[in-house]
Amino acid sequence: MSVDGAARALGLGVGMSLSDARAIAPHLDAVEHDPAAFERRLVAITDWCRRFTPLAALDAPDGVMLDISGVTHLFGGESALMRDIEQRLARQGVSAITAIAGTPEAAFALARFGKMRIAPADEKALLRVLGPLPVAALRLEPSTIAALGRAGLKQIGDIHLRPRAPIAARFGTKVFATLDAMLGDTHSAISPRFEAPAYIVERRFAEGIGARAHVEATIAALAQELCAMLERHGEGARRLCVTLFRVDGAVRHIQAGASRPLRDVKALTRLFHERLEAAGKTRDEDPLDMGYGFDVIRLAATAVDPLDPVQTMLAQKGKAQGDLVLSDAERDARLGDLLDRLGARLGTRRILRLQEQNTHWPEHAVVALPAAEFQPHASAAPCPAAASEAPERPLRLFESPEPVEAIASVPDGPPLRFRWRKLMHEVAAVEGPERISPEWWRQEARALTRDYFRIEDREGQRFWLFREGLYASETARPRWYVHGVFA
Amino acid sequence: MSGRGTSERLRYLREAIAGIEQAGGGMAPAPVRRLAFGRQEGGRQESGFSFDRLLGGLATGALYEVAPARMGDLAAATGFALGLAARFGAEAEGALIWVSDEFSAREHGAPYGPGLAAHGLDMARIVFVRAQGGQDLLWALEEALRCGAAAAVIADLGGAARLFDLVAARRITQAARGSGTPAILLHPPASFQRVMAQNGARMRFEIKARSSVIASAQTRQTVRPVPGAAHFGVRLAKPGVTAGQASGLDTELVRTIIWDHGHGYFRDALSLAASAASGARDRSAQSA
Repeated sequence: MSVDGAARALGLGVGMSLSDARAIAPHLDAVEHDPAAFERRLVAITDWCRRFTPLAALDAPDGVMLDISGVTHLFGGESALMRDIEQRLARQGVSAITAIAGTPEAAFALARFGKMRIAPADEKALLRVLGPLPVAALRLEPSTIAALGRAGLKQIGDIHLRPRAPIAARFGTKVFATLDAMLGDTHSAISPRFEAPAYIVERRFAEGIGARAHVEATIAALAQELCAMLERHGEGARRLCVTLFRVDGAVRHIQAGASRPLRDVKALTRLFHERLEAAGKTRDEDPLDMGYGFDVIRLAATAVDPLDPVQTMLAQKGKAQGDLVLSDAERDARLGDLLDRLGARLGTRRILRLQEQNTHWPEHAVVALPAAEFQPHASAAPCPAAASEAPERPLRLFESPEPVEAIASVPDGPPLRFRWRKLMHEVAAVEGPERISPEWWRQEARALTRDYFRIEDREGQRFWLFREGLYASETARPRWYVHGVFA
Repeated sequence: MSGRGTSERLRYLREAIAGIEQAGGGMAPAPVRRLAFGRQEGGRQESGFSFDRLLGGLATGALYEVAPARMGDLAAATGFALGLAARFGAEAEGALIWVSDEFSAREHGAPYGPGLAAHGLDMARIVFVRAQGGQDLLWALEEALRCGAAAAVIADLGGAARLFDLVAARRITQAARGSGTPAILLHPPASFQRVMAQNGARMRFEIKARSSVIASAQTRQTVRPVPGAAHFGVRLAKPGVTAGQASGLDTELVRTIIWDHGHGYFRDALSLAASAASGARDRSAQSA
């Protein structure tokens, strides 16, 4: 059993059984431990902590580890930062204990077992602080802790002074590995949930801002700063992320990708404008909940590529003259921007290009790929279609072939008439059959052979019909489908 | 009010609107390029195709509307619209952008790559945008037109046709004019009865599927007829504002034309005499 502050005041403690606790306080609220929910919350807190530093790591099962090297001065020093974190978390209903130390291991130990919250930098003083802590602070297996306890080694100080070899031989090398890391003798690093982005700009507000126009204006201002930074380094952003920290602790990430390295304030701002516009409109995204407003807005370039400086003056001059013919590069850039924008608002899987596949099974002859992932084939020469009298493939293809009632003069001949979508079509002209066999080496091996016919009815409408299954050998009653329509 | 007063008033209003649109971030019209429906032989604007004589050819930066006469003619209308797109694509660099909504692809079939290639289009140049609803579709269409990088933008309006009112049409027309990109709108059937006459579209075509087996009809007894290249029955519902002689054009007449998918241009289906005969037949069918 775990307890909160109120319960502790009643004299309950961690590890007490529920029935004992109920005997002391009959009106006790007991909630089943939900590890998944607990972890979700911890992840959310970790993300929220990124408002203090980009390097925030989840420290399972119950901690968050922040790398605050070089950021404490932004918050008025170490103790002020700790107070800020604790107070803000308390406002969210989370009671937290913070500790700052030179190594993650020492911070872990202090937060859980120490009385002092900020570890001294001096090594001797540090040892004085860490020495009296129980060996459990070394984050060892419970069996190892118990074994150490049986040997009389109850505190970190007990181990530190002993000769190492016997202890390592008996209790494993991890004891000293952790101890060395704790004292900074060996280097250890945290593994943050997100890599530190290459470029970050942010704005902090004393009070949450809650209007979308203000959020967008802030993003525009941040974009300006970011682009200036990118320009200095000769880089452009490929992936961007706006992080909105809501006053009550909720964190919202809005990602946007660019098809080419981007360093244009306007393009960048519009990209996020579309993303904000799309938020909540599509099924796969939650609406942007302003709540009490956002107090930190951050714009980060999470992936960058080199981008050579362009002669903006020259490009503008060309535009001013209203050149009708754009250069290839300019056209590609504009198309790239357009597709990014469309993708930002509609979702990238809705912007598609077709890629030919090496198969003759009609459904798989092309695949639609998101334009962002599209790689043109090296051998993407357009196939010469000029030879044929009439197009051999329909202009529009149905996602799944639609069954029709067809009447044919002979079982394996073309149809004379067919009924599709309640309308009867009299066949006036036929070409076929074109026999397409399933590719046995592929998934759809169980499919039946199809005999395709190109059909024109008396109205002049043209259809792509097929009969499924070879008569007698594959099926007794072949069925007919319309698979597409010709112009 | 006298006739002269009306025209002065109109001129004043037109100027006022132009002024508003200039001030409102509207782009100055891009230079217009002209091209022919049919094959250009010899001289630049000369083409043997009747539409080029009647309509004065096609021009960039304008809106073209295509609708099927009946539901079953949607494929034919698609073919005609893609024919226009192929004409524009042949004369300019850049992508062809096809904007549609999800429903249209599911209900009427999605554009099929090999079929597009067989129709004479370069599959690698086409970008498909599948919007989730009418609003998004119109937005995507306008954005695609504004960007100026496309050779043509085709929109399969489907359900969005309901939203395509005068305001939307004005926006689309302005976007097309500003960037010099042609917009080709594929309407659902019978949409032209509702579509207002003066929505700024350059031309409006109503398309019917036409039999492609006329030539082989005599040999029917001996050889089974085979479907040929795409034939369209085209009614010039709005013959455009460019050609002076267009004003006297019969907007009820259905003209039969062929899309030559091998070469990528339109041509007349039959000899002049035969086309006149079929035209008469159409007229009688229409009046019946």
